[in-house]
Amino acid sequence: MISAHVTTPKLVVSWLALLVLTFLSFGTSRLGLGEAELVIALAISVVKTLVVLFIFMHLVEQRFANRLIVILTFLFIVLLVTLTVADPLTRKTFPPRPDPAASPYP
Amino acid sequence: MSQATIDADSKPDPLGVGADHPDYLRADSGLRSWLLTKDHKRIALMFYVGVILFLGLGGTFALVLRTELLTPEQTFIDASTYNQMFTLHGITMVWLFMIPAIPTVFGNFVLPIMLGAKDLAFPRINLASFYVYVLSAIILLGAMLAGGADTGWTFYVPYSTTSPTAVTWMGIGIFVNGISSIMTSVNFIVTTHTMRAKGLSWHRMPLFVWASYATSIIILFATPVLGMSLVLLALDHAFGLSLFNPRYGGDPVLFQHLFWFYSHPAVYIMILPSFGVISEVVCSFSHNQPASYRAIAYSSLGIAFIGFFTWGHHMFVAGLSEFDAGVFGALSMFVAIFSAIKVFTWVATLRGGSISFATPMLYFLWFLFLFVFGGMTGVAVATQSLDVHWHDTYFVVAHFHFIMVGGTLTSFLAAAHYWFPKMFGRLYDERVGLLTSVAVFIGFVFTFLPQFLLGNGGMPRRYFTYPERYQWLNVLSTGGAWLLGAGLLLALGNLLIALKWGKRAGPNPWGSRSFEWITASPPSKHNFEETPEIERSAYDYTLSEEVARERAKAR
Repeated sequence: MISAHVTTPKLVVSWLALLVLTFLSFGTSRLGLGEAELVIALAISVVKTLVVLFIFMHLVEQRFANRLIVILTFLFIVLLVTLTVADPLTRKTFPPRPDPAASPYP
Repeated sequence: MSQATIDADSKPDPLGVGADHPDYLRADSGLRSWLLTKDHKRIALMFYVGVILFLGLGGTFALVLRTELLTPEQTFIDASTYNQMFTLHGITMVWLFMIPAIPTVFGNFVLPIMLGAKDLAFPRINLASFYVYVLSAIILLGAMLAGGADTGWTFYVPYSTTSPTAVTWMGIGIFVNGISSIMTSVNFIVTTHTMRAKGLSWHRMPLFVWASYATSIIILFATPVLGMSLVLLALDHAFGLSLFNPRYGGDPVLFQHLFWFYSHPAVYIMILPSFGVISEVVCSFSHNQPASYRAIAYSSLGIAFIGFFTWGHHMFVAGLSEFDAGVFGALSMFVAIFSAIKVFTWVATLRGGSISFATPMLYFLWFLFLFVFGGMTGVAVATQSLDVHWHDTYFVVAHFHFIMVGGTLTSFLAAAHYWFPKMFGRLYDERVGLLTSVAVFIGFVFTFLPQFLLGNGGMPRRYFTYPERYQWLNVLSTGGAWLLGAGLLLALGNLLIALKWGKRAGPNPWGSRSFEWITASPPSKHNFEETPEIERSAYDYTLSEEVARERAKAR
């Protein structure tokens, strides 16, 4: 388990890391990598989020119960995204209803 | 320890804990002592004034709407004013009355005392939450004056992105309002975890605390999503970002997903504190312990949890996929299971009790009828095949008014009467209280029962005119609304008169065993001088009042 004390040098290093990651994410968006662009951008933002959570929000110093709250929060986002994304993905699963306008006199 | 072993010389103060100190109303004087107070009880009273004012404003909008609908054609306002009225009625009632009403007023006032604490964990954040609430109210009122909104309280796109009204400012106002809710809920969660009295284990806590705790969890998890959706909407409205516009790859149904991810749990934000109030009232007035403490406590958490999985039932006819609609329809019905557990437990609590029919108890009976009726129609509208028929008709309006407004309003009034002696140390006039409660109930039923029939008969909601065959039901509904309004004004008048002329209440006029009644009524500024020691549950009605006081030692 990660466990440490957040000190000023660590905060500075984390801040620099966040800046580097921001430039990295901007840079990769300019390379024209197609579909991989989105994946890379999301991966970088996940890393940045973790840095903010663990260092700037001092989660690294906390006991497990408090970390669990953050995990739960993520699960709620997963819930929101899953059931929302399931909607457009399954909109065409079922056979379409017969169009009454196509044959008005059966 | 049996009753016989109690030392007669160490009898607790019969006037309640802290009776030898000036009460919180008189401890400090001057406007400044109110505006800058960190006392949870004074902050609760300031919220009380706020939510009553907005209940009055939202109620006035409602009466304008109902009066307009007396006749099939235009009665006295034009169509666009009508659109504004139902939107402003919804926004005012949902965000400025129903969501804050019970937690900020009664939660703020009694929750710390119930836990044996001197205040909430973060008194300054508590005061800040009041001012943030006021700020949100100012923004919303400003937006109402500067163009209002005509989108309905749900702000559905695409219309809300192009409406010429002050949608952006409405969004900002509601966003700010959410910050106030979050501040209160963080305070409640931390207070419940860290400031319970000695010996006050989780399963000894009053059920109102459980309900407030569950509500706070929902607020904490859901409100940020509402904030996010309204910011997206405001950006779309103000700068034309087209986030929900299909022409640019957006999806209008996405807005509904985001909106209802908050707003469906928001229904439970409104109703869960009511469950807490009702649990307190039913135990206090039947002088009986709850039929199952754990069933009531855990079903609150169950509703808080399952309430997050049901938002799609608002979107059955909005183009939601059939797969998602099936999942959401089934999940929605789970809520009925937890609600039924509560209803059966409350009713079973009456059994073997010594029931006294004071005003709060009567409100409990009205609550039971309205909540069960509204809940059962909720199961009906969660059924897709029926919802297609009823969607966007008055049936849905009647359903959510029965469950949300019926539930919240009756329990708000129950709480207002039940904790009135606690807050002000006086008794209201019981006869007038009973009479106004009957007026409120009859008014409510006459307002909304005809709307079920109107909706089933095909009258759509939010329409300015209607065919003549619907008129008699609309006249009934309007008459009911005026009676409801009159009943509410009389109830308010009764309480205001009692503030000055009511009889002195004594510390525990209802003979309740819950812990807020061990302090003097009204309580002293700091509630307790030392953290109390609790050796019993909040519902130990097998003990005499004296022994119960002895087992909740405090000074």
